[in-house]
Amino acid sequence: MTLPAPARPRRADGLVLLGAFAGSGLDRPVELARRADGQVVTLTTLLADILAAADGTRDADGIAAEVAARSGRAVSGADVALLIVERLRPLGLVTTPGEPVPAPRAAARFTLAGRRTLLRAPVVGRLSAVLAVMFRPPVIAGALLALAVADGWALRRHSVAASAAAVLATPSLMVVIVALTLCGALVHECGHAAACRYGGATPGVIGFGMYLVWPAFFTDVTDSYRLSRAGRLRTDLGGIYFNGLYALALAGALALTHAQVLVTAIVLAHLDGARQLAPFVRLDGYYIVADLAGVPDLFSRMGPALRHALPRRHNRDSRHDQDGQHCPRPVPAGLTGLTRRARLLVTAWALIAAPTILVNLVVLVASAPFVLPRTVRAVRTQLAPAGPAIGDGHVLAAAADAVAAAVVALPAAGMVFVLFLLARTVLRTLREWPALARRGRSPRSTSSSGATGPSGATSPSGSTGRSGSTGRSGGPGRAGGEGCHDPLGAAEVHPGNLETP
Amino acid sequence: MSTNSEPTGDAEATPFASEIAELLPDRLTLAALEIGRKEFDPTFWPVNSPWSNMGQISANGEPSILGGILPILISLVPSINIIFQIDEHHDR
Repeated sequence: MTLPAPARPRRADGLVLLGAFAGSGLDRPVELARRADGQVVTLTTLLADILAAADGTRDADGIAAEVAARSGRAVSGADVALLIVERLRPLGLVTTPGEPVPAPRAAARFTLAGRRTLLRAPVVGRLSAVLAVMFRPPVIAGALLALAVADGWALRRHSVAASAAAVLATPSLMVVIVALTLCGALVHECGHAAACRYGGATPGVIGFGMYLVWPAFFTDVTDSYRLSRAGRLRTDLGGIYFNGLYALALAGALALTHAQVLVTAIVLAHLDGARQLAPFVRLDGYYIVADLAGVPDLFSRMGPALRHALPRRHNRDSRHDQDGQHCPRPVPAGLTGLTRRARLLVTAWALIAAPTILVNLVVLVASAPFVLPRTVRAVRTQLAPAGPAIGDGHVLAAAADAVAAAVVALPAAGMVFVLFLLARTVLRTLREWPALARRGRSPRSTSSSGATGPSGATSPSGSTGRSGSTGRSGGPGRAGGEGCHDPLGAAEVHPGNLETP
Repeated sequence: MSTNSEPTGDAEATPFASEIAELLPDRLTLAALEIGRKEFDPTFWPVNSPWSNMGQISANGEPSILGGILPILISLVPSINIIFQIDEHHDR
């Protein structure tokens, strides 16, 4: 049962309106808000105006008047009540006295699992405040120049092959490399936090978890949503920049100690940084593409982008209106509201990322029957010498064996985890299939074209001359150009980035 | 519960269909630890590159099943080469 709107609506405790989403790939303004639990929400301007006016002192009519005064949009009290009940309250943005406040979290594909905190937010805040100085332009220029010189010196004066050979031949050096790699990953995350702080946002915790088949460190930079596009890109690139600083520090240590293992560590630091640029999963490259496009969650748009880009079996593309004019293909819901540039970027990303991920998943499933039993045998082989080594007092050798066993076991553990996620997704889809099929068969009950609000008020979007669906379309509920009816119906026309993941 | 306030009721039939709020996913930067270092795999390096002579130091088995698939792109199974190599070494 839907509860009525509260008499004097009040935005949730701790809710902060953050202002416009800068550098957005949407063709209409979008506002940001953050709940007390840190969940960030995008809102259309009208909803943000309602939230701003909902301070607990006004009723719905008063909020409508305040919205009209602020933005000039004609909206009735009944409209406000409807939007509060159907849009704002379900997301925990407006409270009802005596009722529990829902706090749904965004679902996201291909995200981190099993998160654990390593450094709490206050610690990260202090650390990032100190490190933020590294993002001053003169410091960046100097550091990059020093890195180029140090790399040139290290790679000309030392042999990478000899260093790698020594690492492979000496178990203790492999432990050193693993430790240095872990350290480098933490430095990378500190780079993100520092860049986030330099831009004016507050980084959250640094922690670790399991990302697909990899163990991974992470930094919560959710607050960077409120930065400018440049600030978000700086946050994205901060980790790779700190990979470079880490390599510079390793080169300094190499100069002082002449420890050849550091040559390998320098190369790996650079390779780790370069690997972060891959845009297919949520590494830094993914966020860079997302910020260039101005679209917060690319994965939520992958399906619509592919459906729009790939040819269809039925000849739905060659549509014409009654005058024989060619109608452009309608844009699916997940892509409506995007600027042309953003839509092209998202589509290009989806066309590259989807087959890459698919191939990897197929390889993963196909190789599981071979890999898992072999992994068990390999782990046993690695661990076998550890017991006698401990008995003989060779603790370092035993530790190296244990690390090697973990190195071998973790990918298989991740593989099992991904297979579990895949199986769960397939089962859920099968379970929900009848409902989805029913929904697909049912006719669209309404269209926003010509519809009136619950109180008979004129459409607020219409009253301001803005389209209710997209800026491109000819009017609410229409997409794809004048004279072409949008078969999706108004109910599926989203303001851009508003699709359930 | 839906994570977005998508049209569900009366608002669907109104001009407010496009007035929607969306929960954004947490923005987590990741430093994934690729533990099956491909860098130690002699097939990882381009032929005749300065590091391709690393092939001399890893004389154990060539990756028998998965080697060569998407060598540059991110792989979800980065350590399988090592597993096969260890296994083959053990079998010998």
